[in-house]
Amino acid sequence: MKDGLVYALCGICLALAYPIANSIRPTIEQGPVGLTQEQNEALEEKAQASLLGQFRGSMSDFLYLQVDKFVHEGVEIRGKTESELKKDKESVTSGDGVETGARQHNGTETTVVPGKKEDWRGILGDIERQVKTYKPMGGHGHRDPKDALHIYRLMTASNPKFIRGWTEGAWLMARKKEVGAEKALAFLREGEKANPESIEIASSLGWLLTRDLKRYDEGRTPLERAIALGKLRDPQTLTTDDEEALVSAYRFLVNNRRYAKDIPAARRWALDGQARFPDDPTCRKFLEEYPAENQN
Amino acid sequence: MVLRKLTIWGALSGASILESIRRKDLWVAVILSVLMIGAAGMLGRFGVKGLETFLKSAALTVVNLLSVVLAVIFTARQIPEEVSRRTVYPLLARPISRFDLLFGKFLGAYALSLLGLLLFALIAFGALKWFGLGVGTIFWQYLFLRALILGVVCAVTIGLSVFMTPQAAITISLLLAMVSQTFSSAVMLLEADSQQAGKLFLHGTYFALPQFNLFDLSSRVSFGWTTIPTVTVLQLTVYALLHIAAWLMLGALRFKRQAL
Amino acid sequence: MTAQVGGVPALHVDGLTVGYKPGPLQPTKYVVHGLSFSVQPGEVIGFLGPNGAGKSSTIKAVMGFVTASAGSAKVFGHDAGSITARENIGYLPEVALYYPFLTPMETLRLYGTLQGIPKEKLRAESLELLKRVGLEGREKHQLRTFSKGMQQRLGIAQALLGSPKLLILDEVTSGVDPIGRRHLRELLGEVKKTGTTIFFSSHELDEVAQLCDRVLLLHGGRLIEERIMDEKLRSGIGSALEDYFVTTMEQATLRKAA
Repeated sequence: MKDGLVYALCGICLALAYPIANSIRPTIEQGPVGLTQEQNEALEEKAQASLLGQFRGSMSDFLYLQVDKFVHEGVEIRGKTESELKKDKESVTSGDGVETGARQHNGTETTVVPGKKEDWRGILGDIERQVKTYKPMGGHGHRDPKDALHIYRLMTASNPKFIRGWTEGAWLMARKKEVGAEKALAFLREGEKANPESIEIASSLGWLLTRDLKRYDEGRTPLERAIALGKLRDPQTLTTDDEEALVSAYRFLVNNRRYAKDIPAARRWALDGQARFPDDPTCRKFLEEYPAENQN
Repeated sequence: MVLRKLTIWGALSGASILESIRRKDLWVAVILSVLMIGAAGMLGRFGVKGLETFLKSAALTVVNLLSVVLAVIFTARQIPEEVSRRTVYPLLARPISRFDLLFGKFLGAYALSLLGLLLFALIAFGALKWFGLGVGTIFWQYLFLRALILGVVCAVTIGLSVFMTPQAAITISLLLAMVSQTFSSAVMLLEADSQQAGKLFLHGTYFALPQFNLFDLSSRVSFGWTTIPTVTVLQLTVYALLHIAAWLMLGALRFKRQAL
Repeated sequence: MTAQVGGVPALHVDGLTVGYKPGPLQPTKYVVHGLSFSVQPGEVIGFLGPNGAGKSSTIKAVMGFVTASAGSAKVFGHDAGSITARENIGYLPEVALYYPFLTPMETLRLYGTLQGIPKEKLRAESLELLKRVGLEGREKHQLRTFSKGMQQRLGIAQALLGSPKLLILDEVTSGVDPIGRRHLRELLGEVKKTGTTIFFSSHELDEVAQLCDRVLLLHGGRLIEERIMDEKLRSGIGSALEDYFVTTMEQATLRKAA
């Protein structure tokens, strides 16, 4: 009886693997498939989908962390602790920071496996440095982040709600010659379908169309939508990423209209942007340059 | 004398292996392997270009995880099950020591764990080959070190299983094995900010507990790094053997005094 | 109370005290108090007593499964529980359970190897023993398909493996049906004839009456009676022994209450 059940479960798993693979393949291959409105609702309402969602969420987070490791050729990096930063400062002023300096990475990062001089573990520390993908901070190379593009694709396939996967992935695609901005645009559109209320994706779409593809009129719509979405949301609920995306949307929309030679619209958006973000230099400089509405 | 001991240990471990195979314990491994193939097949449909490192890393993570879980589960029940179903009495009525029983059971569990590891490694190797991905000579070093660490896992688990319930032994062994890397990193971070007494405690804990993460070459295999020096492999072999001996002795000391 | 015959006793228990700690902070609970007796080679001893009298605890101390709080036990002059002592013992536990996924032959092979019996001799002896305990034809069946009685027979077979000089049997016919019981009684009769010392506890007074040379009566962890089996006690297929047993136990209970 038990054996029969096990056979049946195996059969079901294998049978399901193929259709599941088929159903998500187009997403990976940048086809025009995202989550429909119904699928989105199902994802939010159904317990099974929610459980699956948790798995997908964990998977995409894991993959996101993998990118960092990938870029550093396997060397694991961590942020420095407060005491390490303090120590760095002291050693710099006293001029004895040669080894510490070698471990610095943008000054604030260091390797997870410590260097020999900082390690009290003796032979066990030496073994760990041999066994792990360890190289001193100054001594390891970096892969081009663009090579991690496939991981972003897998990330968004695993969890279409993972916004950072869509925006960072599109940014990398746009910068990779053999992929290009058009594919990045298709990728972002797919992300937009899965996340119609995302300020970040709408802002990124506008940025791509304005800066890389120079399709100003087409780029205006998503940027306006990003700002509208930002206005609809309670400011208390906006994350730092949302805030940054909203500022970017204002900046790109002002520039978009400026490049499209629609200065009155650009001024309106700059004024609107300055009201929301008084310290933003882009809006401020534009308004200094074009103080009157009729100025071209 | 040595031959007699080897015969005793062989008979005890042989019976454990035979029973486990008949009980279809390894079926768990087979089922999990089938699921792994299914998952790999699913990933394969995405195309592997650019995902080589990730695929290798995922395959080796699965091998590490499943082999340790199986080893812990196999081992944790060896002695408690003998006691609970009273098969320990006719065994210890024979002219063997309690250490012989513990060691024989350890060997049986270890052999089964190695069998599980080989099975998983074979599947991972096959799946990666299927994608056209080579793993290099370092894969064999990786496998050897995994085999060594499974010995430590089995010794720790069987040692703990005479002190506590099998469930508690499973939990502690899995915790030690699974969070080894996190533990090691945490100790390094805490040590830097600790006072003298704290440092002493952390050093003691670090050196007393087996550092399972030292036996994990999966990152080097995944990122295509070179093999590690033979002297490091030898050092790790000695380290593993010392821990195996220590944990078995600890278990044997307790088991010797245990009323059955 | 101890029967003294010349030579090294097969089993000599002297002032044996056994106690258990119910919990880490709880006081030790003693179940056997200063027990002393001796068993001479070739004797068949019935170890009797009501449930909780301390029979199994005494046997466990003799086998080395528990450590005695005081006193000692020796098997053919060797400390009980030592490897040398166990070389001479064949033991059947109170509830005999064996590996459910092994066959009787594999089970006997395991115990025989641990006993140090050479491979070829072991195979022949195992087949012979399985035949003697009535498990012929079931050699290749896994034990999970065996009834409790069949497992008990296998238990007897493993205890007899290697022709031990001292057989210690705890509740020998427990779970065995009447036919099987008679069969086992006959088998133990044959073993007795070979000069093997048998020390067994049982609630089945019939078999005690028919097999034993002497009985030891235990109550509350103390030896209260020791008696050589005579024709009077053997008569009436155990009823006389039963009367003797019940009366002695009642008197012991009354003495304890007073």
